[in-house]
Amino acid sequence: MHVLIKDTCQGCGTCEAAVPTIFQVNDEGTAVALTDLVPTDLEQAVRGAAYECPTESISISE
Amino acid sequence: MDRLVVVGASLAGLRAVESARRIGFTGEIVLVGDEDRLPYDRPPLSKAALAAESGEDIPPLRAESVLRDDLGVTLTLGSPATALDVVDQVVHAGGERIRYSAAVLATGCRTRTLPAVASHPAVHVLRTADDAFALRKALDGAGTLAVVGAGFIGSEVASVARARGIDVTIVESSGAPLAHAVGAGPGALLTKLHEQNGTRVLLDSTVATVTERGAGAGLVLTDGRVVDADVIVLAIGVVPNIEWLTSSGLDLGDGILCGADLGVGVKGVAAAGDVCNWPDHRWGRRFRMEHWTNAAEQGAHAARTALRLDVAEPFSTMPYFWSEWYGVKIQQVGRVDCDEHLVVGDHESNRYVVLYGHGGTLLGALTVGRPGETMKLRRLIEQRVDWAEAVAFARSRTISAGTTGLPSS
Repeated sequence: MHVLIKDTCQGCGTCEAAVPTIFQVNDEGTAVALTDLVPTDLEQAVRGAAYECPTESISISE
Repeated sequence: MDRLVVVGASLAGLRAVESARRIGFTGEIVLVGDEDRLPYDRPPLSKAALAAESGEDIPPLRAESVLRDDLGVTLTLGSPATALDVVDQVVHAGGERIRYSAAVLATGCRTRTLPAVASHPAVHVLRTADDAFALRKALDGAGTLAVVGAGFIGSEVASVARARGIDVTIVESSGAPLAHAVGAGPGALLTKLHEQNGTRVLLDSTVATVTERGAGAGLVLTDGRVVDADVIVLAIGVVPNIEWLTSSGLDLGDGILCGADLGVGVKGVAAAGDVCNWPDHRWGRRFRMEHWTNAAEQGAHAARTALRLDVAEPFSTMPYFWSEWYGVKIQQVGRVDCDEHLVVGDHESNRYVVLYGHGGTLLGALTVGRPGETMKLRRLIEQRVDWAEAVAFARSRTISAGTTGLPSS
C-alpha cells in the first residue's frame, strides 16, 4: 500500500494522532507521510486515518 | 420492523449511518435533516467558503448516489424533526411519522441571536451553508464589518474579511475573550493577533441596537458608541436543538443528557454531536462539545449503542479543535480548565504553545503557529506525563525549532 498527502491538507493532525509512525505534521502546518510504502501491519490503521481525515487529504493506492 | 432513524443530517448523522453499515446492520436506514441539503462539512463555512474567490456551492460529504445506493439510506431532507415518541417509537418530522427500532439523535445546535438586532438586513449569523452564501455575498460589496463576539467563529470571520481588505471591528461583551475556551491569559494573547492584523477589538462592549446609517448600518453599543458597518455578524455562540424533544420525556439540560455510552435512557436510542451531553469517564466530568472530531466519533459510537442493545461501551474523547486566523494555525487538545498554564515559545511572533496542567499532570495544550507540536503534545497528554516532563519537552522543541532556522513568523 502506498500513501500520499494531497495539497488540500490543513494540518489538523488527526492522521498523526492515529498513526504517528506514518504521519507527522510539520511546522508549516502540513502533514507528511514519513514513508511512501506502508508496512502491512499498519495498512488497516492508515485506511482508518484516511477515513477520519477531515479534509479527505490522504490518498491511498494499493 | 428493523429500521434505524438518524435525526440530523450532518457529520455526526453521516458517521452514524456509516457505522451502522460497518457493524453489519442490514435493516432500513432513514436519515432525517432539517436543511434541504445532503450532509456537508461545516468547518470551511467560516474559512474558505467566505473567501472572495469561493464557488457558489459546497460539496456534500458523500454523493447522493453513495448515500442511496452504497449505504442504502432513505433521505428525508428539508424535514425538521418536531417530536419523538419513545413509547410508540416514532420520530415526527416534516409532518411524517417515521417508526424506528433504533434511533440516533444528532440535531446539533443553532446560532444564538440578539432579538434586538437580528431582523436588520445587515445582520448575519453563520451556521449553515445558506448562511455562509448569504454572508459571502454581503461581504462582496462591503467596506466595513462588525463582528459581535470574539470567539473562534467570529475571529475566523474577521480574519477572512481582513484578507478581503475589509475594515473589521470585533465587539466583545466580556473583558477576557475566549476565557472559557482557552483561559483568560491565552485568550488575551490570541486577541492580540487581531490587533496585529488591523482588526479593532472592543472589549467590555455590549450591543444595544442597530440603526440605519447611509448605505450600511450603525451598531449602537450600550455605552452610546456607534460602530459603522456595512455588514454585521452575530457570532455569540450556539444553543442545542432540544425543543423538539420537550414532550419525549428524555432528560434535557444543556443538550440531551446521556449516559456514558451515549444512550439516552430509552431502549435503542442514543445521541451524538453538538447536542449530546455525556459523562466522560477519562476526564471525570460531563461535556457538551462543538468539535468536528467529537461529532465524527460520537456519531459512530451512538449508532453502535443504539443498535447493540446488550453492549454498553462508554464513550470517551480527546477534545480537539483547530482554527486559523490570519494564516496562523491555532489548535487545542485535551483540557484547558486547569489550575495552571504555562506559555512556552515566542508569543510576540505568534509561535508558541500553552501547556495546561492540574495536580502536577499535563492535561491539555494550545498551539499557536506551531502545528507540528499539537499531536506530539497530545501523546504526552494521553500518557498523563507529569508537568515537569511536559515543560521540558515543550522547551526542548522550542529551542530546536529556533536553531533549525525556521521562520519566526
